Parts: sequence; structure tokens; C-alpha cells
Amino acid sequence: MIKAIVIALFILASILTFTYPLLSLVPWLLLLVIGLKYNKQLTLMILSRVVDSAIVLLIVLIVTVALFGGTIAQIKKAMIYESVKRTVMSNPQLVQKLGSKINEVIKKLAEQQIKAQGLDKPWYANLPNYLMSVVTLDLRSQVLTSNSGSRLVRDIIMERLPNTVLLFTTATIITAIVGIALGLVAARKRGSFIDKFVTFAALISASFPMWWIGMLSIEIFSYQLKLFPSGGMLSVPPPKQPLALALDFLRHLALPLLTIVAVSFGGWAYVTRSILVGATKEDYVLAAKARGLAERVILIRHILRPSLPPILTMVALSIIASLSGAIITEIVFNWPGMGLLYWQAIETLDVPVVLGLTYMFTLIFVVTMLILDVLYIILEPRLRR
Amino acid sequence: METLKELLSYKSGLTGIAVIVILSIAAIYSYFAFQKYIALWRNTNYWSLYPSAVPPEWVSAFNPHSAVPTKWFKPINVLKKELYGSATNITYIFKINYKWDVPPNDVKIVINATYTKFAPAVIIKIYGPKFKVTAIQDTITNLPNVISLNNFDEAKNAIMNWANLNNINATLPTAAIFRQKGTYYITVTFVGIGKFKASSKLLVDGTVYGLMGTDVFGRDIFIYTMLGLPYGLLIGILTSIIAATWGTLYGLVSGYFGGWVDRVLQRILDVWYSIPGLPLLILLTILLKPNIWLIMVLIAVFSWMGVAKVVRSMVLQLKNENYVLASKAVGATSRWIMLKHILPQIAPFMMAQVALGVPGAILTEVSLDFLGLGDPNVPTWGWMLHDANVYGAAVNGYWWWVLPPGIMTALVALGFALIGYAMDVILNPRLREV
Repeated sequence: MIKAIVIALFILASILTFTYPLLSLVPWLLLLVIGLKYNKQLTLMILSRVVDSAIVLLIVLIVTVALFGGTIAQIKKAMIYESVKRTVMSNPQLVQKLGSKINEVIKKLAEQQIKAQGLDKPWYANLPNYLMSVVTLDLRSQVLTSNSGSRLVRDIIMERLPNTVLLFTTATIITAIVGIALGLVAARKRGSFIDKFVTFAALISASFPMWWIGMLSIEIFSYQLKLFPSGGMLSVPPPKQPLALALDFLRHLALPLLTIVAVSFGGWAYVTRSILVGATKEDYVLAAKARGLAERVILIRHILRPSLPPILTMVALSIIASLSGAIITEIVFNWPGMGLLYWQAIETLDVPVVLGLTYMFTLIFVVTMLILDVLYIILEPRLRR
Repeated sequence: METLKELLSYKSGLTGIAVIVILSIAAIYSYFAFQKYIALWRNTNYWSLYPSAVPPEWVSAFNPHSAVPTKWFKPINVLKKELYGSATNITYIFKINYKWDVPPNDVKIVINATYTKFAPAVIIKIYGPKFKVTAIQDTITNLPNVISLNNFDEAKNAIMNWANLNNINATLPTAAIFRQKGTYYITVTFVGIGKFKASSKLLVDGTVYGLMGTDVFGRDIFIYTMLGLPYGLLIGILTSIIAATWGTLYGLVSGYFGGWVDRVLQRILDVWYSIPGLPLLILLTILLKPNIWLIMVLIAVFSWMGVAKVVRSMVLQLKNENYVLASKAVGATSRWIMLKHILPQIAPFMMAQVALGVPGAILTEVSLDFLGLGDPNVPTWGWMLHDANVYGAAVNGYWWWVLPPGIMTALVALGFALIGYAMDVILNPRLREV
């Protein structure tokens, strides 16, 4: 009963967080109260992880803002100047009245506002101010624009975010399934062909840069064999029919997806295998065998179940690796995600976009780690009670 | 020593060590053999002599006449004649035994002259099977140091005019000249008044080049692939050592002292774990524009956490061993115990961590260079791949530009990964096959 309530509350809270952040506090607090009442230790553990994540976010933010402190002030000043200029210019009567003195007036008004916002002070005095504008992505880009022409960093990033998530969650899911399944088979049939293949694939995972394999696969599969498009997410112009559009998208998705999976699954399989092999040598497995339990029961209850937490740790570590790889892989495949945007922002030295993206990467990273850690805490019986 | 012996008894360990030893020897050799090319890495002027983006010579192994190799020619004969008055005529004769079905990419003639008063004149003539053409006839002050028959206007126009007059259908001067197999002579004549010194050599820019071809700048890919080796090994090993040393110290202190020190240090470690390395590294490299040494430190800063965790858990076990307790009982200081009793025990693990850390370190560095953020003055594989990507190696099918740096990176990473895996098995007996 209490489990059902907790799960329902959790889902509600998660949804609300993204839609009505303020309102979501209610279910979160309720969860906290229930948790403290029924399983204090577990709740406190999760709570301390949440606090840790918040600290990480804050540290990364402060570091990046400190690094770019001077630049942000300049950006903000430019933004204010622009907006003052726009308000003045949009008022024809005022423009006429001011005549040639218009630029001076704009400058004066802008300086007033700059002073009012405290932007003439050094960057550390404005830290909260800056942090807020990065957190809410309320910055104006200097060079890059979104497809709709907006210069708001939030619009630019939100346009790219789904593309990255789409490519990398799909790739991670496929890699996880293939990798863990192969690792299972390899662990059960040690020394077999599959076992050797897993070791081989793991070595490839560990030593080849993903984007290099990407470059090669583009050269082979799209330029030599002409099987797949060489990059991008949709043809230009994209097909009109929904079915043709979906097919076109899948054709573009295939090559990056295959590359990511081909390079990453070996690592997953090898680590899964190592963990399982370690688990089969535990005394309790031997004891279970001695008791004459069925092979299947031993595999599921005595080998797989205790191996779950370490496998989860591996998942966390490889997601970290794939997120870093994502940045460069997207560039090679010209995939219009956040990685490519990051690259474009670096190339054009568009500081606001760089700042916003660094924050977004950290956020995604920290939230993923947090979810995995919480799962770990829930799955690990030694930590549960 | 014991560990090393055991390491060699494993197939993967042996392979890994063999790979690394061979690569290290190659690295030392290429560093000394190609040292002068390190400074030439960004010197596009120097490399513009050579053909741009041509494949290696061995691509025409099955059909030797289908591709022209790139080759320097020295004069077969130098004629020196005193003319009337104080004039001198020096003629350099080059002989090209042309046996290829296609014309070369270009022919470049390097001329040098030092003179006191009057600049000598230069006359370049080409004698082919049953024809003769004068390409250049000018004073040396009007001529560049390197005369390209295809690109230097004076030579190009002279040859194309001659081709038009003789109804030769060709788009480029070299195509007009080298229409058939046979012996060609090219003469470079310096005529001057007074004393002067001159020298000349000739380069046939082929359609293939050396062992690994060239990139779009004409750079020799073999040389820079080999030069990438010492840098790749250095970066990988040093970065990993920095990270492992710091991680070991951190884990040692955290595990040994325990209590609030441990709690604080572990909290910092947890926080550090959740920081996304690459985006921050990218950010830092943009801002700091670091040199290669700083880059190594920066990469290490984001990769020591795993070592610290492993070492801490080992120290937690070791510090309750009887000999440690005994040592404590006779009044040994913490430092003594850590250095004399615990550190030697974790040293082999540290070595394994160093080996396992190298692939990550080198891949990160290559990635940074690939993004164009590394130290531009160091010829690394990452920069080669960066240039390959920027100059459309995939579109144009310059596979010889993409393959060598990537394979070498992978080879270094592979060697260390093999050693790391083997050490992992040795140090975790549970993984050992029964």
C-alpha cells in the first residue's frame, strides 16, 4: 500500500517538476515526510545525494560564471543597450524630438539601467544575478540563432535538446540490451566463441575513439557504398509525407546509432561478464548448488540479483563516457544536437551559448547520476535497511 | 618484479607489453630521426612543395605505371662555361626517365643564386621526345625561389602557348609535356656577369607519395604519424601517472585517517565524480589556451577519482592488518606507516591503475586536439584528424589521412588496456579462470 502511494507521488512530483515547478514542491515534501517516517535511513541517504547534486551544479555554475565573469557583464550591458535602443527607436515622436542627440540619450538611459542592475560592480558582486540568468538560460546569444530566428539561449538549446536525447537514449538502450545480453552469455559459456568476441569487442571499446570510427563509417557507408546519408538529421528539403519523413529520419539516424552501439557494447558486455563471473564464485552460489536448487533459480536469485548494483554503477560510468563522446560524435555526423551546437558556439566564440550549454550538460549529467544513485540505493539491500 | 613476471605469463599481458615496448622503441627512434620536422609542423610554406593530398606509393603496387611517385632529382651534369667578357653560363641538366601512363601533378624547380652586382638570368628548357620548349627566360629577381610549371604564370603561359601552337590538347602544362613515356631532359641555365654562385634541384610532384601519402598541405603523413607516437605515449603515460599519484595520495589519506577527514574527502570525491569532465575541459582549454603540459594536468584533474576510490577501500583493509597495528604499537608515526607499510602494498594496484588510465587520457587528448583546442604547435594524431575532418577527408576519400592517426591512437590505447586487463585479473584472483 505505502509502496503504491510512494510510486504514485513520485510520478506526480516528477511530472509537476517539469510543468509547474513550484507546485511540485508539495508532492516532494510529502514524499520526504513519508520517507522519514517509514524508512529514515534510506530517505536521508537519498536526500544527501540530492544535496550533493545541487552542490555539484552550484560549483560548476560558479566556476563557469567566474571564468566568464567579465564577459557576462559585457554581454548583459550590450543586452541592456540593445533593449533601450529598441524602446527609444520604436517611439517615432521621441526620435523626432531628440534628433541628433538620440545616441547620447540612449547611452545615458542604458547606463542608468546598468547602474540600477549593479552591472558596473565587479563580477563577484553580481554572482547571484549571473547565476540566475544562466540557470534560467535567460541570455542572448551573440552569433547563433535558433531555427525560428530567436536569439534567446533558452530557445536555441531547447530546439537541440530533443535531438541529442533522442540519439543517445536510443543508442544507450540498444547498447545496454546488446551488451548485457552478450555479457550474460559470455559469463555462462566461458571460453566459447562469444566469450572471446566479447573480450575483442571490449578492447575495441576501450581503445578506438568513437568519432574516429564515425569518420571511417561515413567514408565507407555513405561516400563509398552510398548506403546512408553522410550527416544531418533530415534531408534538405525534408519530405512532406509523414511516412517518408519518418523513413528519411531513420536513414539519417542509422549510421550514428550503429557507430555508437558498435563502439560501446563491448565495454558493457565485458564488465557484465566480469561482474557475473565474480558473482558465480561467491560461496552462497556454491551453497545454493549444494542445496540442489535449479540452475535457473541460482542464476536469477543468486547471481543476477546481487550483480545488479555493480552493473548499475557500470551503466552510470558508461553514460558519462557516452555523454562526453556525444559532443564529438555529433560534430562528426553533423547531428543537430547540443554537441554540435557546443562546437558551433566554440567556433564562433558565442559565450552565452557556451555558458548555457555547459550548464545544460552538467544538469543532464548530474540528474542522470542522481537517478542511477537513487536506484542503486534502492536496489542494494545492504543500504536499504 | 613478481607482478611483472606474472604479467608476462598472461597472453594479454604479454601482448600488451610487446605492443608498448615496440611502440616505445619506435617513438624514441622517430623523435630523433624526424626531430627537424617538429618545427615544420605548421610551416605550410615548406610543405607546399609537395603534392597535395595524394595517396601512398604502394596503392599502385599492382600497376606500377599507373601512378607517378614523388621524387627529388639532382642534376646529372653541371656545365660551366666562361663566355666573352666576364660572363658565366652555368647549366644544370636534369634527366627524367618517364615511364608512367599519367602526367605528374606538377614539376617544381628550385633555383638559388647569390650574386654581387648583376642578377643573373635564368633559362629553363624542357627537352622531350622529339620536342623542345622554353619555359622560363627571365632575370632571377623576377622569379620565385620555387618555379612550378603548373602554377607559376610565366612558365605556365609559355608552355601552354607552345602547346596551342603545336595542337596539343592539354589543360595543364605538365600534361602537355609528359604525354608519353620516354627520356626527358630539363635544363636550368644561369647566365650572369661577374661572379655568382647558383644551385638548382628539381622535384616531380607525383600522384602518389612515400609510405603514407600527404595531406592537403603536402605534409608527409608518415613522418607526422611517427612523430605523433612520442607525444601520444608521453601524454598518455604522464597524464595517467599524475592522475594515479594524486588519486593514490587522496585515497591513502582518506582511508588511513578515517573519521571526519574521510567523510569530508569522500564528500568532495562524490561531488567531483558528478562533474562532467569533457565540457569543462573544453571550457578551460578555450579560456587558458594551454600548452601541452598544462593540458596533461587538466586531463588528470578530471580523471583521478577512480584510483582514489579503489585505494581508499584497500587502505581501509590494510590499516587493520597485524603488522600495521604492531608498528603502531611500537610508536611509528602515521607517515612512516603509510609510506613503509601501506604504500608498498598498494603499489601494484597503482601500476594497474596507471595502465588502465592511459587509454582514457590519450583518447581525451586526441579528442581535444580533434576539436582544435589543444596545443597547436605539437604534432599529434588529434590535430591530424582535426585537419582531416576540416578539409573534408571523408568527402574526398582521403583514407590514408584518416587511418594512420586513428590506428596508432588505438594501438597505444590497446597496448595499455591489455596490460591493465591482465593486471586486473592478476590482482583480483576471483576473475581468474579455473
